[in-house]
This record gives sequence, C-alpha cells and structure tokens, in this order.
Amino acid sequence: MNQFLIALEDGEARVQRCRSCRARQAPAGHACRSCGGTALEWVSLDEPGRVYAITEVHRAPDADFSRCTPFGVAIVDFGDGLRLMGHAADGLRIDDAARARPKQIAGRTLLHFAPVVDTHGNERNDDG
Amino acid sequence: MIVPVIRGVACTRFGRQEGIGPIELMNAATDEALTDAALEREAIDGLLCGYATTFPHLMLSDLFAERAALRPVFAQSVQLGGATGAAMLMQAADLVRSGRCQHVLVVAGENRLSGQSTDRSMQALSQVGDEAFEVRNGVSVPAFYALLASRFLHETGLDERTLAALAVTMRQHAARHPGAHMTNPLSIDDVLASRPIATPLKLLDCCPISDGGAALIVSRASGGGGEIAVRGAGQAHRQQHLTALRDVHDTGARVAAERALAEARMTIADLDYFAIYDSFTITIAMLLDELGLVPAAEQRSVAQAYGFSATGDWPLNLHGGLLSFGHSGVAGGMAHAVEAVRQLRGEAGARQAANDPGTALLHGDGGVMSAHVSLVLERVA
Repeated sequence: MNQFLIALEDGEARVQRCRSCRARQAPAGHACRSCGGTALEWVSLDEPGRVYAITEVHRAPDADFSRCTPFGVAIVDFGDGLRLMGHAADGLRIDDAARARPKQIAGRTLLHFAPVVDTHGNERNDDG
Repeated sequence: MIVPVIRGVACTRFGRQEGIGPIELMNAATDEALTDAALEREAIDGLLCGYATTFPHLMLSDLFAERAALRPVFAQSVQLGGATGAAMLMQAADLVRSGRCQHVLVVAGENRLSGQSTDRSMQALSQVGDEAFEVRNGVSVPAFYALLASRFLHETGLDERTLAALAVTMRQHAARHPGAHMTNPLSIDDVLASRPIATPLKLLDCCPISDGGAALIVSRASGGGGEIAVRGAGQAHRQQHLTALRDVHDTGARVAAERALAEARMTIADLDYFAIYDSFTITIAMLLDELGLVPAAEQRSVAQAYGFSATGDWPLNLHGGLLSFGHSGVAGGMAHAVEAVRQLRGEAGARQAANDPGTALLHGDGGVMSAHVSLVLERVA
C-alpha cells in the first residue's frame, strides 16, 4: 500500500527520503533518483514550500471532480528536488510560500496548499 | 554499409470516421503505404505496431499480422505515448541497418474520436500521471500541460497570445491539407476566447481528438537518388511524471535531438524542415525553445511573419500538426513523419516548402514531456 496515501488518511503529509544522500522525492520510487540508493524511508513534511506551477482546472475527467470545477491545482517545490501536487487555495500564485495539509475534497483526502500566513495574519511571500 | 530509407508513407484522412475500428484504419494505411513503396505485402518482414486506447490488446502486432496477412521475422508492439511513432521509426531504421529485416512496416491507427467519449479518452491518457501523487487530484493530460505552461510562461515571459499564434499557424497549414481534421480559419482572438480547459490553456490550445491511421515502410537504400534516409536518431527518458520533471528548459528533448544530430553528423543549422510534436500549443513552444530552433521570446514574431510557413525560414508541421491536422493517438505523431517525407520528396503540392528541404528534424514526445525521440532525415543525392 502506498505510504503517501496511508499518511494522508491519517491526516499527515509524509514523503520519501533517501537514507544515503538525504534527498527527498515524489512520486515515490524503489530507488533514489538522486543517488540510485535503495535505502529509502518515509518522513514527515513539516515545512512550507514555494509554488512552482499552478492552474485552474475547468474541465475535469470524471464526475466526482466535475462537481468541483473550477478548482486550483498547484505543484509546490520544497527544495532538494521534492515537489508535490495538490489542490490550491484561491489566489495562490507562482513563487508564493505555501503550506501543505491533508483535506477532504471530492470524497477523498488530498493535499491542499494554502498561503503561509505570519503571526500578524498577513500573507507572507518570503522565507522570513 | 546499409542505409535505411523511408520507402513508403501513408496517412488516412483524420477526423470523424464512424464505424471504422483501429485494425481497419491500420489496414487502410498499410495498403496505401505498400502502393507508395511499390511493394507487395509478402515483402514485409518486420512489423512495428503502435497501440490504440480504444482497443487495448496484449499482442496487437501479432493480431494485426494475421489480419493483414503478414508473416514478419521480427514483430513488436510499442508503447511510449506520443513518442511511439518516432520510436518505431528509429527501431525500424535499426532493424534494416542491422540486416535483421529488409522491409519494416511501422503502423498505427485509432478511432479515438468515434470509438469512445472524450472523458474516456482523458481517463485512459491519465495513465501518464502518477495515480497517488497526481491523478487523484482530478487531473489528466491537459491539466499537466497547463501546469507546465504556467511555469514556462513564468520563466520565459512568453504569453498566451504567443501560444495562440502557434495554434493559428497550425490551422493555416491544415487548411491546405485535404485530409486535415480542423480547417476552419482561426484568429488569435478566437483562440483566446475559446473555452478554458485548465489555465492558461483553452480549448484551441489543445489538439482535437480524431480518428485516423498512418503507416511507414522502411527499407534499405537501393542506390537510386532521391531516397529519404534516416541519418540519425536519439532518445531520452528522464522521468515519467510531471512532479519528477526538474527543469522546464531541460525535459530531455534537447538530449534526444543532440544524440540524433551527432549520429547524423549535422547541426541545427543544417536542417531545412521541422516536424515537431504539438499536442498543445505549450508543447510546441517548449520544444522550439529547448531544441534550439526558435527561442520563446521570438516565437510570436516568427509566427506572425509567417516564419513557420512554407515560405518561411522555419517550415514547421506544414500538414497542420496535431493541433489541426488532428490527433488519433500514435498515428497523430506519425503524420508528422509522413509530411516530412512528402516535403523532402517535393510531393507536398500546395503545402510544399519553398526552400526545397533536403533535411528534416522529426521530434516526438510522449507522456508529459517524458519520452523524447528525435530523428534526422535526409534526401539522398
């Protein structure tokens, strides 16, 4: 069973990391795409990333998602080669800082990316 | 040394052809290719078949061999998404060059338009996405290319009007081909106003779904002049999935093309005609840029000055490409090769490139810029 999906059902984002070179990767695989090693482990994804690509989907391929259109989908970059795809909050743009959390959408648990908000309630677009 | 040449080409009309299945389309294209090659079917001793999503089969090449009364000494069914046609041509050239086969038939056909709903086609194609990490978000191929487009546009400053100009160019070319699926004139504003699919891509940024088939026959050069040789070929396979793609400027396309050019002992400057995969406007924009043909920043002005047309410096997909000639799956990519051969032979009639092309670059890509295959063709003196 897919560890990524199991973790999502448990309300957590977990990703694969190489024990040898520490690179993280998605999608998961049998071997590390950075160094070729096969000693891989699953670790919690705690930090925010940066939006790499984003789209608003207007035409969905099945009935479950047709009811949700239009919806935002983003690829978020977490550095070290790790990128993840998930649904995106309205207004998210490329280069925005975004945090991933599991969310129920269209009858399943998906990653949802929301803008990182600072302690003053302002959206933050920097690393600070 | 054996030189492989493309001896026969054929392409059915693309569009809606009710009641005709993949095998019939493949047979129609095969018959026409045999005639074009002036060969009897008994001469075919190699067979490479592309897949059809409307007819998944464990052993399509053997099934087709029986239906078409072929008895190849080498047969294979090939599956590399949109790169399948180019990959089969590369393999056919290798089979001939090695002496394994004398005459290799490369064939594909699919009734993707009339054989299944658009949703069903999109669901089949979503196999190119990772189910757990991508597809279950409710996305398929158009959304993957839209994500690619958002990043490429962000990094290059290329805009949606440029993408639209590329769609307009393909439609202009298709208007001169009697077999093309989409020929109604288009303007940039028409493309921009078409229904959004996944931003920034709209309906007219996407190729249509068509019924159609195509076939090529690769043989050894006979020594008479004017034959179309496969001079070089190369592939690259860096990643399957969009989330694993590192850099939108380095998808593997250039690596494949460099391998093909190195084998052909040519550079980009030696190329006259361009047959470049165009599943979406963003596909062709990225490939033109990465292959070192026309940088992103110059594409709109080249398109609007008819630089990609038969009279331009970059004659490109003069049959109309996937975007307007049509896309029936593997045969869609093969139509680029058929047109390239006709152009190099000087047989393209109203579509003939004015620069009397003697060389061509053919590039196919499958998945989400996942599998790349490039070939260099040259008319032998």
